[in-house]
Amino acid sequence: MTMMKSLRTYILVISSNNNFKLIKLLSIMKQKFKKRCFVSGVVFSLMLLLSSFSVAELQAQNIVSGTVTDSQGVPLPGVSVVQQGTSQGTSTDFDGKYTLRISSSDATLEFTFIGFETTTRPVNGQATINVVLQEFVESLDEVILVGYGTQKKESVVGSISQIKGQDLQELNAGITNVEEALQGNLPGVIAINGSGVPGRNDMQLYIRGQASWNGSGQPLILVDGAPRDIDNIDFNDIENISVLKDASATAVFGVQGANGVILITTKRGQKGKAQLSLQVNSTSKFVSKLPEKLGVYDAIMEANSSIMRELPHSEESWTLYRPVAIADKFINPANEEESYIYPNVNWSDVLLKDMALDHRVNLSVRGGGDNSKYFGSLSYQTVSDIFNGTAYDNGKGYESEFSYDRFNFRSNIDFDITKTTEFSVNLGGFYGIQNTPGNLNLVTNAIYELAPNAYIPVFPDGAFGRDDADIFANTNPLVTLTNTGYTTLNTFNINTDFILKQKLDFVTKGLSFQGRFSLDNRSVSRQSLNDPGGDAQENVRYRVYNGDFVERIESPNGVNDFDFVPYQWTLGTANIQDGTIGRNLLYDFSINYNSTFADKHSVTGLVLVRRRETGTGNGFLRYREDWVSRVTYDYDKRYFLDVSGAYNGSEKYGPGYRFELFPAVAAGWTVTNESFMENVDWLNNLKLRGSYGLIGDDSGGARFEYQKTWSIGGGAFINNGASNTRSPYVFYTEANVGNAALQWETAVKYNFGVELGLFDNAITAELDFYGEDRNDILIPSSQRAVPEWFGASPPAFNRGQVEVRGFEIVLGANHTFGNGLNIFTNVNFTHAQDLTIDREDPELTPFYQKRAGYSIGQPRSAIPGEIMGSLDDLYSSTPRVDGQSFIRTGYYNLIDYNGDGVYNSAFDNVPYGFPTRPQRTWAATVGAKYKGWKFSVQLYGTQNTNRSYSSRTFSNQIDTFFVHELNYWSKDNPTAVRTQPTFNFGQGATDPRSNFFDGSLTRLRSVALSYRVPNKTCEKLGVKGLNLFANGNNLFLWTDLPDDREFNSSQTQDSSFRGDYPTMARVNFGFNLDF
Amino acid sequence: MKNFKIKKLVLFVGLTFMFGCEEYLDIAPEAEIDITDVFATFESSQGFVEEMYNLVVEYGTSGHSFQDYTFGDDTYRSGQFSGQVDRGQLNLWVSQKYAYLGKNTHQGKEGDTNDSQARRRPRVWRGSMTGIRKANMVLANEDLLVGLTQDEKNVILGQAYFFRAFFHNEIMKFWGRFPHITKVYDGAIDTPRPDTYKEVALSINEDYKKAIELLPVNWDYEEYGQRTLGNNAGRVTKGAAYAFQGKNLLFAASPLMKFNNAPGIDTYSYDTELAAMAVDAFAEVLKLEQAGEYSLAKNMEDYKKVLWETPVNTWPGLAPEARELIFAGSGGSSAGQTRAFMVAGVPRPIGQNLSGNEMATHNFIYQNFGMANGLSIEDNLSGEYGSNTYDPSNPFANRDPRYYAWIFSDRDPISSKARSNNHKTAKLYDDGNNEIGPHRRGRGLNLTGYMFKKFYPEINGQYHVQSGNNIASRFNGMRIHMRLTDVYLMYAEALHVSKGATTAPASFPLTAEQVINILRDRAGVPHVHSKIVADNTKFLDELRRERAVELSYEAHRWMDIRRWGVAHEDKYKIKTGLYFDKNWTFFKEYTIVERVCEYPKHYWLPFEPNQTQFYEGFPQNPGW
Repeated sequence: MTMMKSLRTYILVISSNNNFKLIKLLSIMKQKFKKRCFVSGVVFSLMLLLSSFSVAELQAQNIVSGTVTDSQGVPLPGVSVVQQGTSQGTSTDFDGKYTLRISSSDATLEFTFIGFETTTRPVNGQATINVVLQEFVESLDEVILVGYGTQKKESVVGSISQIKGQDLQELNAGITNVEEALQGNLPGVIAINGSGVPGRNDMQLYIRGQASWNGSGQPLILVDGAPRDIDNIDFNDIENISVLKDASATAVFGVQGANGVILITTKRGQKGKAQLSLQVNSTSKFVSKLPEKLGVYDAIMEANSSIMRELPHSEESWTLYRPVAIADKFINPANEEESYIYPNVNWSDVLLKDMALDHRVNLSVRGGGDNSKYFGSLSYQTVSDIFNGTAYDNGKGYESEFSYDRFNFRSNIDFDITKTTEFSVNLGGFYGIQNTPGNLNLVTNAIYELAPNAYIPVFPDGAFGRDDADIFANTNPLVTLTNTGYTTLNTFNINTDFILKQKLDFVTKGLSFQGRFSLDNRSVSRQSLNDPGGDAQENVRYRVYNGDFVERIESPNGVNDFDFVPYQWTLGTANIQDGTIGRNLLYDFSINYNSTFADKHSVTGLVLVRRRETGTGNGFLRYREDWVSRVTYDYDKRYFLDVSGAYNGSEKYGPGYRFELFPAVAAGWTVTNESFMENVDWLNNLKLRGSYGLIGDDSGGARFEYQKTWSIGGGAFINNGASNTRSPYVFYTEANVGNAALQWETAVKYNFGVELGLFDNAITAELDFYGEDRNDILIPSSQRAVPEWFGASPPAFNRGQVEVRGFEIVLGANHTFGNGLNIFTNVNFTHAQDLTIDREDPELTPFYQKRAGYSIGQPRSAIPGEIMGSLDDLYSSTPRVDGQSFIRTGYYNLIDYNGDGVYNSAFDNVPYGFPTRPQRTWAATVGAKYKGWKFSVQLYGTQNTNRSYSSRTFSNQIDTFFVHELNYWSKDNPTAVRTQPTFNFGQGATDPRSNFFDGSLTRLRSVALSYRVPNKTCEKLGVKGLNLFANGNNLFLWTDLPDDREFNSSQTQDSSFRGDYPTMARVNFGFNLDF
Repeated sequence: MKNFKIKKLVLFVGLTFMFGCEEYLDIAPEAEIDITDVFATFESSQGFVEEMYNLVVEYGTSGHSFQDYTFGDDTYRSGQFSGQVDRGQLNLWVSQKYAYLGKNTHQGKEGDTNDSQARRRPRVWRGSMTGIRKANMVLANEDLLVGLTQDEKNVILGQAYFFRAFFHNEIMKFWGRFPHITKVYDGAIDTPRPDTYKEVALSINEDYKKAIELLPVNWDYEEYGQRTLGNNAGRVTKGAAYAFQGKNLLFAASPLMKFNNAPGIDTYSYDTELAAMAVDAFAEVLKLEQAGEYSLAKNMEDYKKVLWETPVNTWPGLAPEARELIFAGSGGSSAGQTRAFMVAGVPRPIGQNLSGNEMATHNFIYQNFGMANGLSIEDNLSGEYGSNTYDPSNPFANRDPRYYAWIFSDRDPISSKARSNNHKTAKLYDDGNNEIGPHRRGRGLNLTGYMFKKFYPEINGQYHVQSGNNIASRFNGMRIHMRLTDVYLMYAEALHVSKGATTAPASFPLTAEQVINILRDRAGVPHVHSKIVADNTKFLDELRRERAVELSYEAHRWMDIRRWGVAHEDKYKIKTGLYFDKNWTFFKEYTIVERVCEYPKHYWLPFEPNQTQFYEGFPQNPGW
């Protein structure tokens, strides 16, 4: 009855208070937290939410109480205290105190707590029992998240890496996106970053490389058991992150786990009084690395030098040559007027702030009573703009900048409905407000492409600068940033889980049932402030100087040049875009079994059936159905066996091919648990494990691709009387040719691992070798080797083959000195290399141009010969199929690879370099702990990767010259490998690899320092605990890349040459307060 | 016992799920349409055919906002595909974003037939491939057209035959001989490439014959056309089928196709048999003109109605007195694109910020736009045909009236309403040194000294200027795929090479000489000199010059100089501009670029290399 009451109360709270608060908070959010007074609101609403829970009162009868502490005397909250042989139990509160009613005075109490040795104490009539729990040195009993459950680390035989949310946060506080934080922290996970747009996820994640060209190779990510995005989770909500890498670990996810799985669990309640924590941090961020440009004078000198070299080919370039006296005016203008005509602008200074500040506040509460446990959290995070647009008032009454504000909420509650029934309700989500002005690529373009002498960005009278010919690439970035309106995207996302666990010990001991229902909703509303100007002209006044330095004013038509009145901007209505409404519905039922026989035989079993419906916009729902089972057996903690499998269906395949079984088996042997190892004391852990399994993947191809389908819609524009309207006959189109025999991609994955612990785990090592052979890879319609006179997208079919081989090494060392100083280090290294075996290359394609035999995404280029240094070289160079008449000295000869006497890019380009996705990543962490202090440094690096970046030196004949282009070949610099950029005549300036950059890098990924204020000081302050922390991310970068982007994001147009929103280095300060 | 219990439980849970296990993942039933639905009614069948209209690529508006569509010796621009053609880099068509010949659209996509902007629809290569398949699907499923009346069925099949042939011709224009694909491919392909252009053209001719049989003269007269009454000018008709039938045959008869990449090409040598067949096809179009279906514009004032003088969003070439439109692509659906096309001949500061700048070359104008007396400048200077009227100290004087109608030269008035003084008149002088007019030589400006204005609107002599007299948005300039003037010229060419200048064919009482003179009458130019008529090759040259002028800047030129086998000659390779000072004290031709063009390599676009690697029997074009 009490239980029902509290449940009802909860629901009431959710439906009234919480919603009301939510709405209110959202409306506060909408005002963009002008006054930043929300913290009190957050606290208030949390209080309201939680005040309905009360710890049940206890009656004093056969009562034992006491305090549980760790070896250093720190109270341990949440320790489970149970009277052995009964179901009587409680757990300690946040002061480590417990009170337990026992049925007899000669009972024995059992104290268990994760990470500590389980301890038992006979009561013997005592009323007070204080216990000191001993920590595991290296918590072998650490619980590891596995698919649909947990396992003790010692019995895990699959390949799994795990990190605690707290550890991740320590290194990455200040980073908004969890995916970004994963970089370097989980062996086997390759995480690369493409841009720093506030509120946008520009990460690519790969687990152990990429084994298919279908899909994006991204892993399956589950939050609390359901597929969800993690880029918008608040760090403090994360309990654990686990990465499942091999077949046995991922088999239960069947097809979806083919690229690996990342599991995240959020924090849950613990029994005890409500523990309120406040976490506040502020981050100052600055641009990590951008390509450096020469100053205007030097750039003009380079331009002149380039013009001199191209004159024989382009006489007209001479008109572009500028005498020193003119170049000099750019740096030494005689007067103010000349400084406008001969500008010298550092576009980075104009556009970028030296630093920007981000803030985050998180308030969480954790606690629980006898029949319920809860975790609740609210947080607010603001990500500010590194562009300095707001410093320039557009005078129109609106400000536009890139920004992101996010409000996260979470409430995870577990109810013990009966002694054997637990019901959990999780509610989590966020509301994010993202602002984006204009075209991002036109803003970053100024940093990457615009010359220092292009024009004055804005004149003192408010007129903007512009180049004479109004070249798109030279668009004034300040106008784009501040005078072209902006778009606001409001994302509202809510995830809910309802989970019912029922113990079925009455059927057989160790049997339980779990049912789950999850419903996620997301919608994005878009609102735009439109400021389009008129007559294809921005809504501003430009002052333009032409080639003869004659000034003119340009503004939209219809208004007087000298009395320009801006058009009124309009604020569009906020519309929820249909395509953004996403809803996921998931439900599953599972039976779990877990029992130990005769102390030595441990058996677990799992059978699960899951269905999922996903919908976006008004499209047809997507369905998925999975049948999963797993049996594990361990004999005396020495021999382990794990058999699992999934039976999956996919709507992409037709009858007969739709369902497939994907089994995996893994076995392990803990040598150190054998009796013959008992006397070996230097080796305390040696475990061998291996796995082998079959996984499927259906990420390739479109929905229902097996079917021949037709579509209706569209019309022809052949109305001579109204050519902008469609004719009445609606198009019927063959939408998909169809292939009834489409089937799963299958992957055979295997893994062999060794785990070592030496000298009481002071040194640990883990070594994994793995491989994957993927077969029947879908050759998507767009990549079929079928001549285009097929006339339609040819049907996809299964044929491709890829293999991946690699290894991971994790080394750890940990030592505590007598004085309590603890030092630790952790190094991980991942190598993953893929090889395409078959990809339906056209039969007559020469082998070196086939995709088979090379990595997925293998770049190709012409083979440069020598730089042609003389006319002799020129005349003896390889003839070219194109542009033969333009080849010239100072640039590369090209190798005629196929020996047909002529260089033709179609036949003579060969594989070169590496794909963008690095083959090798590594991270090394070193740190120390002493009393309340903790300090760590993490380095991260990648190797065997290339990125393409086109330096826009002199593009459109502007004086942009990048420092990385400086060391070019000339008569006086004959050993250089780069070639001189051309100013006006690019033909024949061959340098096939000039856009090819070695993407390897090493970065000082993190420096973290934290200090836990001693308990005594806390008491004086009136708080329970206080933790201060400071950390820096990405503070140093060593790389040959011109900027700090690990790939060119396709989310920003032209990011391979116009750049992207800069990535950041960050310094973060904050505190964590428990009260 | 325990095990039994577990099993029972598992079984129970399992059973509850078993229902609809397979069906759960079945295709959503509402999404299914069957092929029988597609061809069930006239409406749905026409809907299937209708998409082919939007696969027809309208060259003038299917590139990008900076229209790049001529590629002949008639214009110059350094960038985009124009520049690549000049440099002989025809293989770069594949990645070309800004021309109608790119494989993908400027956004890197395959193109969407439903897009209102022609530049976002499939381009020539993809569009034609899709169109051929579509046409074949109609023809392969003739049996399903049971719910249609005979007339309806005829017009569905007629359109399919027409489009199958038309799309093949579009490919053959640029890539040459190509297999006549007459089936719907469903698996592996091993269709060989035919050895000659002629055999494909003759095979395709059969498609045109069937189309002619099945198509109506005018949809407005037919019952099925009533639904679109008054809006049927865009639909294919008997006349269109005759015109393209003739064009297909004339092209196949032309020297390039006749020599079939063999050395020793002779520009005066045609396949006369094919040419005679072409004459008969064109004659049928001329008969339709006599029957009142078409009418040739009779004077230069009416001629504007064929080119641009029609309200925005309506098609030119349909006014009763100038009803030249036989078939047009559907590019005119986006006013922004047609506007960019209309202003393509003038530099950005005058025309439009984001338009292209096709610079009319001096070589083309000098060689083709002749004098008011009807002679070419060359013939004028020779003195053989009368007194010379060409004045080297004022090359802009005494020229063919069409020169003044379609070309801006220096000092020509543009508009007195222009906000900038610079744009009130054309300021195209450039002494080759430092005296440079504001419309000359800078970025986005003119290099040649001429701007073409064939589609450039004007009201009462006041031409469009983007700031001051922004009138381009009021009209709808359009490049018509097939218009009557073209038919006249092709008729004359085919007739002349098969029967001579002064003989009429059995099919129509009009000689080649008469045809040219009809066009000259319209332009107000004297008839072709009798000495020229008497000389077979000279008359062919004159006929080609007439074609060059009449169809100037309409994207026919590149095809013409290739099929005539002359593109590799210096006269067609060297693009020039004119230097002259502000005061016109001197005029000097200078070379802007010498095109890289060799016979036969640069006469055909190469196939994308992988397309020739799928199977033996589909060789690449020569030289690639």
